Amino acid sequence: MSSKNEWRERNDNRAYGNVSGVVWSTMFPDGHPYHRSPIGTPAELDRASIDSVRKFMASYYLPQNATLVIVGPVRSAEVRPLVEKYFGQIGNSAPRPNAVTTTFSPLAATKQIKMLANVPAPLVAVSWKVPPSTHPSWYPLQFGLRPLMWRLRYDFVDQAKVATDVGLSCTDQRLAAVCTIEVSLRPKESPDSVVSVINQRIGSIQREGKLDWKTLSEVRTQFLSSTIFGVESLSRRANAMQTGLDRFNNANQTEVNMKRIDAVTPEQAADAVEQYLGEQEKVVVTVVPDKNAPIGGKIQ
Amino acid sequence: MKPMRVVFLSLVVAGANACGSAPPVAFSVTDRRVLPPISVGATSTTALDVAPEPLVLAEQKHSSDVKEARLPNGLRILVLERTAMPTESVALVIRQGSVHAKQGVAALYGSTLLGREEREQLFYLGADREQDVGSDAITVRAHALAPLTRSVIAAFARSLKRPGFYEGDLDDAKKQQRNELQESLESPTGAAGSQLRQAVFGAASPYATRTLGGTTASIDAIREEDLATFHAGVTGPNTTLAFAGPLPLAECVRIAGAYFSSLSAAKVPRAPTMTAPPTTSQITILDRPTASQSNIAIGFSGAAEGDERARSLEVVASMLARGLSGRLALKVRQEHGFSYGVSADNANYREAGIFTIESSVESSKTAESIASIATELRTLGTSVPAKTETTRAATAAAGESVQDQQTNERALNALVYLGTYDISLAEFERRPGLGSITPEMVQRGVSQTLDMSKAQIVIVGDAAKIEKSVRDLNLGPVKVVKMPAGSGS
Repeated sequence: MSSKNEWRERNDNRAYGNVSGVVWSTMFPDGHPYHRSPIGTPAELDRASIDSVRKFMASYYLPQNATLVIVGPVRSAEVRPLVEKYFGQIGNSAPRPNAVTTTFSPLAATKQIKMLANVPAPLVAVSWKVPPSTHPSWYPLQFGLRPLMWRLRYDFVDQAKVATDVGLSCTDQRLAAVCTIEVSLRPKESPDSVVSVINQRIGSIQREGKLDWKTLSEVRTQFLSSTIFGVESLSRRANAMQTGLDRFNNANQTEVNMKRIDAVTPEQAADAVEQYLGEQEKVVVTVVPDKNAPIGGKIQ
Repeated sequence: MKPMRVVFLSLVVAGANACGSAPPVAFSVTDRRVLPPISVGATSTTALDVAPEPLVLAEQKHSSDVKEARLPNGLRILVLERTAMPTESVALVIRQGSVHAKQGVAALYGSTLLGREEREQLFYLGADREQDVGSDAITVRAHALAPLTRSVIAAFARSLKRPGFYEGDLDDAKKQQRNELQESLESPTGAAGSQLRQAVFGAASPYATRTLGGTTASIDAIREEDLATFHAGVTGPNTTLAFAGPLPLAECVRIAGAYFSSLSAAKVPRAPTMTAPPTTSQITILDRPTASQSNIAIGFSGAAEGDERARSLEVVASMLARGLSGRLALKVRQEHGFSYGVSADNANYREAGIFTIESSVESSKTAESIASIATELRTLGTSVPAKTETTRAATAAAGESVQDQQTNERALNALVYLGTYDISLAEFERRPGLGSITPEMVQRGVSQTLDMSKAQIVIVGDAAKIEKSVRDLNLGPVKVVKMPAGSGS
């Protein structure tokens, strides 16, 4: 029951809460591990039995499938016996599960989806499937996306004054990442021209063939800053080490990432935009206000 | 742990010499430095031992490492020098908030204080920026790489010399504020929170009426003169500049002097008129027929800043609702599965306080959830909790409080707090840390403050599904009203 309440809280009972799930299920075909959200649906939660949960735990919650990261003013010699005491008893008789692998493949064509939601203002979310952070093009693409978002914010919020915000988010998973530009329109503004403006701005980056050095330096400063901020607290540092181990088999991946950030060139950024933000390879979700729909939204 | 090597190369900073006649600063950073492991003070080294007693900082007192100076115009400078990381967190605290102005003015002032150029400068510096318009103060914070601190301060100072609202976009800013207000009131949690403040503080209290961005009508009524009047109250004695990071006090004073010495030295009196909180309970259902859940908000008149109950109630909030192990989470989520979680918050303002408990629950379990919460509060108000539970709650609360100094960003919270309430370092030092809160103080805090006979309860949900069972609880009179205009009703 609490999982169903979590689902309602995150999706149906939150403004635009169902958009992300629609993007991912559209982006990845039925059968792909990312087609469904990790929490499932209320119907799937209803079908879950205690046996299926036990089976899942026995298959995946294994010592050989887990990493423990400890960060803090502790000594390895003091910690190791405690780890052995509390974690050493966990059985590892089951075989380590095979990693799920797929080949990265961009979307074949743009998909347009219209949603209705009981919200005050329309929203347009444009999403691209891009390679994950382990891929060499990750930072070049991020360097291309950031100025694109700045430019769109200027276009929609400052100049045309039709939007309250333009946001950029990239959700990085092991097999692929999804980057989304969200344009939060003002009430009663039309979403019709949003996609064509985004296409124009991407087109101009592609035509230029490279970012200018000032922009590149600003983006670099931002990424270096956020990378350092990302290891300031113990919990963030632990998360960074855990992610590094999980994705790169390197607990000190932060250091490598800073070198990757430093190495991005203006041409690489423009190339990545050209390669992965193609005009025909995205999911476009347009949310239109409708008082009879759930707050989270539903597909029309 | 092996120190992490961090390489900074050619950080180009926009707007480097941006503040009038202020001294030029070299921003080109070509540096190699080593990040030492982060120090977290007196944390126990037995952190993995699953012993019954918690392990962290519950006994730690407030920091005595904060240093202070004042400019001749009265501007207060607070510095916590920490060299563990090459970042600096800075805050500009203006001790003038929503209760000191016409409705909606402080929010509009806060959102338009930084001009577009200043916002862009902070953005390009890679600074994490945050603006908070509170009841008692407006705070602008930035967290940036330490060599860029002067640029951040320059942006702050330039905004105070010529705030962004003079740029001619006032109508646009008002439109933005109306949109934000509408969005907030249309969300179930936002609507519940707004209604709850009015119920707890009393509809006429400045802490109820002058929060959020005002109302559509009050925003429409704001003129540039209102913002200018508010701006005139931003004087030296009314302002604090706080630094947490590697810059020593002398350098911070030098930077502050270079940019803020022209601020007026006049003192501005401020004393909002308070109204008495309600003395009987009341339940309000904001009807939202399509709701898939009920959003419950229960509020009590709490402790003002400086009230001795304030620290106890911090521990109470932690004991009731921290993570999955708080009492209410165990009851409402773990035992019954009514909800994904329960939160509790103890907010202390200069003249008043509010303690809130919130949860989103399955519609059919609305009344049962409220009953469970009420039962738990009565239990805690009549029986002293165990010492172990109290210490655990205090330890967890310390991690969320002004005691937490794990990063420069978090360490800044204590300085912002001192600036917001104009608390002297000596007074801060004298105040007990959360570790000194006893089980008896917890029980007393609950019995004195979280009295269900005075509880204000707001539920956003489908009245047709929940009204009868809520009335049957007999916790107080029930009124049903529609959600605000344009909402999900």
